[in-house]
Amino acid sequence: MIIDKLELTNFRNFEAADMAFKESTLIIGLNDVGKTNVIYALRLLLDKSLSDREIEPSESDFNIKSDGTQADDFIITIHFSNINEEAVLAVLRGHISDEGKSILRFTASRKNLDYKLYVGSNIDELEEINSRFYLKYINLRYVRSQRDLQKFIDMEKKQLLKISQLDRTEEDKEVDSKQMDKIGRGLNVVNERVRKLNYVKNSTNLINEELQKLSHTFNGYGVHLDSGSIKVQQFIDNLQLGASSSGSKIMLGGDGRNNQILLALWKAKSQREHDPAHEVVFYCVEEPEVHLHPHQQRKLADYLIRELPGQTLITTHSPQITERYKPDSIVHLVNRGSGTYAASGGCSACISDAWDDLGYRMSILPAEAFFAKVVLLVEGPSEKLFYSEYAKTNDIDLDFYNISILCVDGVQFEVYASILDAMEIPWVVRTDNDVSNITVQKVEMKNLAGINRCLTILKMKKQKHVDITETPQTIVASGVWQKISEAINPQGVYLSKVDLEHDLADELPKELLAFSGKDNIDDAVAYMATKKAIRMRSFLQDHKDSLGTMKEGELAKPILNCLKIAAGN
Amino acid sequence: MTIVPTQRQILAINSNSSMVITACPGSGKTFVIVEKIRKELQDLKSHKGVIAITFTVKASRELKRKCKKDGFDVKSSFFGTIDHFCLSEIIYPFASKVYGKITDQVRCVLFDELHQEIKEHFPENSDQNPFLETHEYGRYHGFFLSCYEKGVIVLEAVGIIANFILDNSYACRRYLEARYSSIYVDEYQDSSQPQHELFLKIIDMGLKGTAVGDVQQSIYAWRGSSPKFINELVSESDIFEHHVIDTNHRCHPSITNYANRLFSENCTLLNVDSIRMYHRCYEGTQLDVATTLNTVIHNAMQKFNINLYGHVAILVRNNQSLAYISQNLTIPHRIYTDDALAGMNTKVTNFFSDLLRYRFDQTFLINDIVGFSDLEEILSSKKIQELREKIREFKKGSENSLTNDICQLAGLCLNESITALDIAALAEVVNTPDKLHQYSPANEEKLQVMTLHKSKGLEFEIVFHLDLYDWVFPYRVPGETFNDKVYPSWEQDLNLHYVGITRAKTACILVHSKSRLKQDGSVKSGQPSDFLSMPCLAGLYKS
Repeated sequence: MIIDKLELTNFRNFEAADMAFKESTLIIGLNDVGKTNVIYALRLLLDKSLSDREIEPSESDFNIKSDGTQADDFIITIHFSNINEEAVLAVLRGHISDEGKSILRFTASRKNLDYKLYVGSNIDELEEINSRFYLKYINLRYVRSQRDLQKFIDMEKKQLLKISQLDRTEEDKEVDSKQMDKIGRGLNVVNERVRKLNYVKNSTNLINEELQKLSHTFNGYGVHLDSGSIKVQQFIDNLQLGASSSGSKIMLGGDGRNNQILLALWKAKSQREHDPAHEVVFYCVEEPEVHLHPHQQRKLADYLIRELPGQTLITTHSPQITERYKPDSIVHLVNRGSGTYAASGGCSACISDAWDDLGYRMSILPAEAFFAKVVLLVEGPSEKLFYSEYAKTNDIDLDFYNISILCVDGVQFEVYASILDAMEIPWVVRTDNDVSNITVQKVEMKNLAGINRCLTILKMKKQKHVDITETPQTIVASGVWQKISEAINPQGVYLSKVDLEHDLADELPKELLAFSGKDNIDDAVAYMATKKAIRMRSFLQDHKDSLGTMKEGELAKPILNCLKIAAGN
Repeated sequence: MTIVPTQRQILAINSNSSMVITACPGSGKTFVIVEKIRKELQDLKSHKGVIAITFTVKASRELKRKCKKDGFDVKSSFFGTIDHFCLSEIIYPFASKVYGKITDQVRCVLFDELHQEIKEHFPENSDQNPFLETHEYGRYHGFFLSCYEKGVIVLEAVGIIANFILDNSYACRRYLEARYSSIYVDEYQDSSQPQHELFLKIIDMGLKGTAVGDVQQSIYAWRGSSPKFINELVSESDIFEHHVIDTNHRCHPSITNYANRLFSENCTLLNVDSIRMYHRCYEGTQLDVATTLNTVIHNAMQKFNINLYGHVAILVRNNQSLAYISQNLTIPHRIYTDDALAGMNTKVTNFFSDLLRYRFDQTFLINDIVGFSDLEEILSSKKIQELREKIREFKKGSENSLTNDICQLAGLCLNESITALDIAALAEVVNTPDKLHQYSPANEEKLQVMTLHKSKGLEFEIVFHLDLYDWVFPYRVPGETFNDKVYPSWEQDLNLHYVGITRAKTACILVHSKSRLKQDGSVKSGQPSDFLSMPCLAGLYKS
């Protein structure tokens, strides 16, 4: 059984939002975009640790629109599919469709702050129910971001011990029982010895003397400080969870290590308590990465995806965790002025099966792109170096504006654009004006590869092949480049006149000649093109001040467009 | 008394296969069922349970009580009659998947109670025999559908509708498979064809089946049931292990011998120290028999050292005879009849009956009220608590407002509308002291008087089995000549006779009289029943 889809209407900051979920789903988005609210909506219907009283709505649960009016009702609808677990089939009885689907709904009214619950096999058959009777077999385990290991352990320790006790073999039990006797005798000795400690023995003398003075009825009556009756059971109940490293005991580590121990404990417990063949558990973990360094975050993500037995929903800010997920398992929450919603409905099938086979994960994009407001896509490291340096020289703080510059390492812009579109993250592309040879019906021709790449990204009609004599330079000279640019620039796609090196030679010829030590521009460009990234880096180091003069040129346009998009939001 | 199970009982209890158990009277079949269920439940998870179908609501209550003994957890098991099962586990939850969604609450009513406008949809030229079989469903589908669209399920058709829904709802089959591991059906000899079909389908789905019955105790053929179905199970030996438990622990061996000879004239006889079967012919008519019984019963109780009237029963053929008895019997007694509520047998009237039981019987608890435990599944604990409180108040309330109070409670607890007919039936019971009295607990101080049919499943120290007249029992119709004996229901009547005799533990007295009152009031000479003169019985009774 998995949660297929969540629909929120007027719940907190969601006026109307649908989001699809996958087997393991990552919920990402900027701070305050409402990740916790999504989880809370699920918890209202599915978390048995929230009592009936705690799920009663409060004023603040009702959406306030941008015009200041507050909604009178909110609705949370959860769609389930793939219901095969016996206990769930048994407990939901007629509320499961032949296809194994079911729906739970929570509605609340602001007038009386009352709520109603519904269940049904489809949206037309919802029937009101009086309680979350299904919670015995369907429920959600939640770990909040501010976790406290000590508190958790105190709560769960006894339970862990109890379960483990029940799992013992007869043989173990016998050995344990003998051991318990021994410990009991040992504790008696300890108690006795504590009592004999002189300062313990005498600590109450003064009180006893005073008591005698107060009344003769206190004759023969005295108080003692005593270790009391420390019994074996109490002793065991007070066991502390300690860590050991290479056999020597150590104090529990920092917060990060505690986090991992917590999750491991939690999994151990849920596996012993739940039988996944019969019952369902959904796991919700908020920001599991807190206090972990990047490498550990990646490991943690894999652990959560692979090891937990049920559907997992995780919220995160961490690029390291994000990159372990496929793009179609990500719900990107965005706020575009008109209210918060999930980009493309969440978990959108933005990658075709063909791409999927290539093993694309989120790591195809450095995952930080997912937290960007706009992404500039360029072909290679030279471009990335150039635009980063350009931004620095021109006082464009990329981190402040949340602009990511990403090199595609080739020309597969389309993949990147689809994924970013699915996440509803705006992007800008700059690519070279390549032309390539092509033979059509034994006639040699030129394919306008760069132009067609741009047109394909924008889903526009490609240009026909042209005469074999055409070059990037002739395309610019003939005005075709200008015409294409006018069509594609407004949509964030920019075509080089030739490539970065040539274009740079156009705009900074003096500096390039000086840097290369050549006497003509062609040689200078050729010099730059031989060891692209290395020479670009040193060029930028030597001549960064000149970058300030390029504001009006073609090269600056893509990054200035990014700035406009980021600032406009 | 601790029961030491026989070898055969142990075999039946321990086998994990599907099985059919044929059990003679007094053989401890209930014990076997209870032990089997408890054994099975131990290994089930809490969301699972067994389906336990009994013939009457009373029997299911009894079975549930025995299974729950010593705080045993029956988990998600179902205990009830076949109609109850069909409605609550198949029709109510899954009808909408097959018939479509309707806005009304669905309720179950007798065919006779349907509104005229619904009845008009009844297919013409179809005979109104209410005992429909599954193959007939197609002819009535349109009718059932139009009933359903008006929120009504016809009670008589519950079995075939349940079969239809099970066939056509995958979700329903998945639910039953997930929820139940096994189905137990008691009194299988009284299964109807739709019930038998349903049983086989459920077993086909992978649940284990246990059918228990006794062909010789089949007495409800007139209600559409047939012993051929249990015989069919016996013949399917690759699916059903056949277990026979045939040691009668109840009856005195002389009674067992007599009863067995009714069916097989050469059966081997048990050793007996004395004969406890009697044929008696009294003077006068049935009315005089009732008078005579006042003294005869005392003598018999003295002779067999029985101290409580409650351990003695008078069993008769029909309700008319109950009327004769009540006229002249002076010994404190209680007459068991079906009242108007039991006759209707709907969710509402059954709930009414149980509220009356709860009101007058201290041993009857709120949770025994039919359907109340179902409410716990769907209502919040707060609402359940409120309802409990109201029901408790009702117990202390005045007897004058019984009808009102009960209707009000039913309105609160049931999701069904209460009709004028329901209320009329309730009022009739409440306003007839004799009938209302039957809701008090069975009194050990009172002689038990009932029809043979009602005695099924019960036992008494001494049984007076009346009405053994020619023409009456077995029922006989005139043949071509006077001596031509035509018995339209010989087998069923013989089974009924057998049931009556085997209720007796210590002694059984078979009674007729020299004269016989006919229904029209005329008096005929009372000839003995042919059951009394079967040759193989010679020497097995005292005159």
